[in-house]
Amino acid sequence: MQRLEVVMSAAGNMFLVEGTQSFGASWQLTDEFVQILDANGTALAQGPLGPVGRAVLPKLFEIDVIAVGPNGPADLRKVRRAA
Amino acid sequence: MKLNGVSQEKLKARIAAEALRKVHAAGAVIEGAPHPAGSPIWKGALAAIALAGAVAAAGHADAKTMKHPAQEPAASTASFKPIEPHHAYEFTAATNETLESGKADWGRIKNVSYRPDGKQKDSYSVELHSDGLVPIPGLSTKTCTVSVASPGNLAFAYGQMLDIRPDVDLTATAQMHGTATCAAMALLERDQLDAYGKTRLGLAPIARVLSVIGNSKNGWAAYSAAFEFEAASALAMLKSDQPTAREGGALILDSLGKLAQIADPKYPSDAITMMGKANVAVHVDGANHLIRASQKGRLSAFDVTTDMSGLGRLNNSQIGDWLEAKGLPHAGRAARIGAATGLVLEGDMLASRQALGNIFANATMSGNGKVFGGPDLARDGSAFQNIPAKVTARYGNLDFVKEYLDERFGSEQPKEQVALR
Repeated sequence: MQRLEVVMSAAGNMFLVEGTQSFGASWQLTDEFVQILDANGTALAQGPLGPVGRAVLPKLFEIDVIAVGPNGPADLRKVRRAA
Repeated sequence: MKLNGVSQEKLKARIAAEALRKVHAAGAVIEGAPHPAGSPIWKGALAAIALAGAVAAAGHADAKTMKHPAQEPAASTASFKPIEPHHAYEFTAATNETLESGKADWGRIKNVSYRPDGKQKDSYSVELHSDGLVPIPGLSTKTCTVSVASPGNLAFAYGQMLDIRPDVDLTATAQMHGTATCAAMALLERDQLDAYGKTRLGLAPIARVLSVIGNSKNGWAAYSAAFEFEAASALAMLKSDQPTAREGGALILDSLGKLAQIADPKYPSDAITMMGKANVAVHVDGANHLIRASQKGRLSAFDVTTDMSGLGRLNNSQIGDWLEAKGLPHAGRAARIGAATGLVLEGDMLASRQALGNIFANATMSGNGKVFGGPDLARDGSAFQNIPAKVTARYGNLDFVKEYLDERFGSEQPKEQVALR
């Protein structure tokens, strides 16, 4: 499973994943993690969920997932929260 | 496929870089990492952005073509045009006028007045009186209700203060009120980040009090609102180059973490969502005040160009853009000022759509007498269940909200109201 980082600021919120291509059909929160899921609901990437994320992320629906490759930001995809 | 001669892949990379750059500029928090720069992916991303600043800038131009949400006007320079104090009173009049008409009258500032402080020569304080949104045991309505309910309006008020007396140190005034968030924003505009940090530190005890009363639903709502305002401020403070401000941001974030741990699970995020709605309504309502005042020539000197866009929420900024495009520059700025006060809205998220639905509900309340909102709106949240999927705005200038909703969501009007409870 790929590593994911949740980046939050007053200017926006996003998930960073390693690679040159963004991915994910949806995202979800678990008790401890933020996860990006494929179309079947399988977790493809996962990152820690802390207190700020617990406050902010439940209010979000769609979020930018940015792939960061060896040459920097490479791709951006908007992913909606799992139903 | 190419767009304006740029491949989609490059375009997406540029947009991603620009989005990252913007988030970094605002001061970001990364979960699970002690410091933003300590996060491996983040660090790599920032390094790449630093190397390719020109690319990011080019991406900004391309982003406009694609109308990506990352597109925002470049940060503007704050400028303060002094105006005569009586303009402030006219702003008050505009506020009262709307209230007296009995429209959408919940959780708003009842009166805004300015008076010589008396304690300090040539200083002013701002008094704000609310008709009450969320009663908070143990704390005065004047202090806390306002800070919870009407951040956008308070930002206007303090913005007015900056207009009137750009030379006055607002720090003391800010600490006198529970409205320090907005005052702090004003201080931020002045690049008084050190004072900003101190102000926020002064607010920390309020957060603790709110945590104590967090076991009641009203308390939870208030606390949730404070939570998001605090988070917004704290995140903004992290970008300060002033140690005091950074310390304040860290303290607040720490407090938020503790608050989150004691939050009553019986009242989950709907309270936050609820306050988010109130927040948006207030912002648009505030914009409405300014529209009216502008139309009457009362706010012709209201030209506080803020640098709040970087702090703001996406939707509110977009509303601001949209208002400006409609020839309502003051309202657009007002929306942006309001946008700086909450960590509420993002993109197409459901809460945003419901928030706009809520505005419609209030509009309908004014138009045909049906009560969807009112003071109970924020007290128990039940009113939200009654918000219709489609309502017709009949409230004067709030027509622009309907237009906005139509433009933004088209046929996908809010339908998921049941998700609230």
